[in-house]
Amino acid sequence: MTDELDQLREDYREIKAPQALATRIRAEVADRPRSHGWMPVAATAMVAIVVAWLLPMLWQQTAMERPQPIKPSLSALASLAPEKPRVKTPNLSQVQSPSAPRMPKKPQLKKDQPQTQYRFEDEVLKENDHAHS
Amino acid sequence: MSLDEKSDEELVRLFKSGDATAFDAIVRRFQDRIYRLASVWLYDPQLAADATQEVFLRGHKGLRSFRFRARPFTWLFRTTRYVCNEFNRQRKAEALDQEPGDTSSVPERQVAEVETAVRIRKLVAGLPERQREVVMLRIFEDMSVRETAAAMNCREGTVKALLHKATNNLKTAIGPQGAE
Repeated sequence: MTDELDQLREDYREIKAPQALATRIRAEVADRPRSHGWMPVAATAMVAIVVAWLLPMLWQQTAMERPQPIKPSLSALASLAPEKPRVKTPNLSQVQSPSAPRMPKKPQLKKDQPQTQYRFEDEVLKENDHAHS
Repeated sequence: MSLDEKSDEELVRLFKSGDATAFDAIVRRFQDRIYRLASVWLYDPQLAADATQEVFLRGHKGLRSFRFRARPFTWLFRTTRYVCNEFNRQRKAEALDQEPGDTSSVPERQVAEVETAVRIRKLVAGLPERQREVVMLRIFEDMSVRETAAAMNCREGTVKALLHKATNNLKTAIGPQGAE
């Protein structure tokens, strides 16, 4: 086995690349356009640098322009309240409908008059007398 | 010190620093090994040359970002295996079952190479894929156990075990033929 393997190995070593192969490779390498693989990397890096430079500036600008937060207070809200119209408006009492006629005064007894039992029959008799007179 | 005397890592460093001649030296140094492996995997000398060219074109791009976590040849070996698999898929044929095409139009030297590649291919065809890789790298490419382990992305012990099994399988496979 080793003899055959040794012979095979010797034969294998005899295999040589064609003479013109190196020239072909050199010509092919020269013909190939230069690699532009670095361009996307450079462009990305450039964009990243610009963004990193611009972001703090933009952030500062927005921070300056940002209005102060409104703290709602009653006085502030009152000052913001719209003015009342100058036209005279009727009072609420005037707007109300006219009141009902007053009830007749409750008859009051004089102080020196002795308090007697109020009797309905007496009133009726009085009225009858008044009617007959 | 000429470029051919420099180590693999030094050549890659020079290439990374922009020395174009270092890449030519890398091609000169590795083209035969890559071509041999591609020949065994693809059978076809023309296709093997195309695959070798593709490996080095990818190397021209990929070795620029090489991080020296492995040896340069390990990187090239993995790329070769990947490219050959792609080429085989393109041919829509199972590489192991494939016979070489008509060799009447190819030069005599290449015919002999194809025959050698076929013999090796037939020899290792019956082995599982991992054992096949070990045989190719350790026996035919004469790589060290450490280099083979790095190329196969496994431990050195695994390489030794796989090689032991592969050798036993090869003995079983070619034993009767050798006795004839």
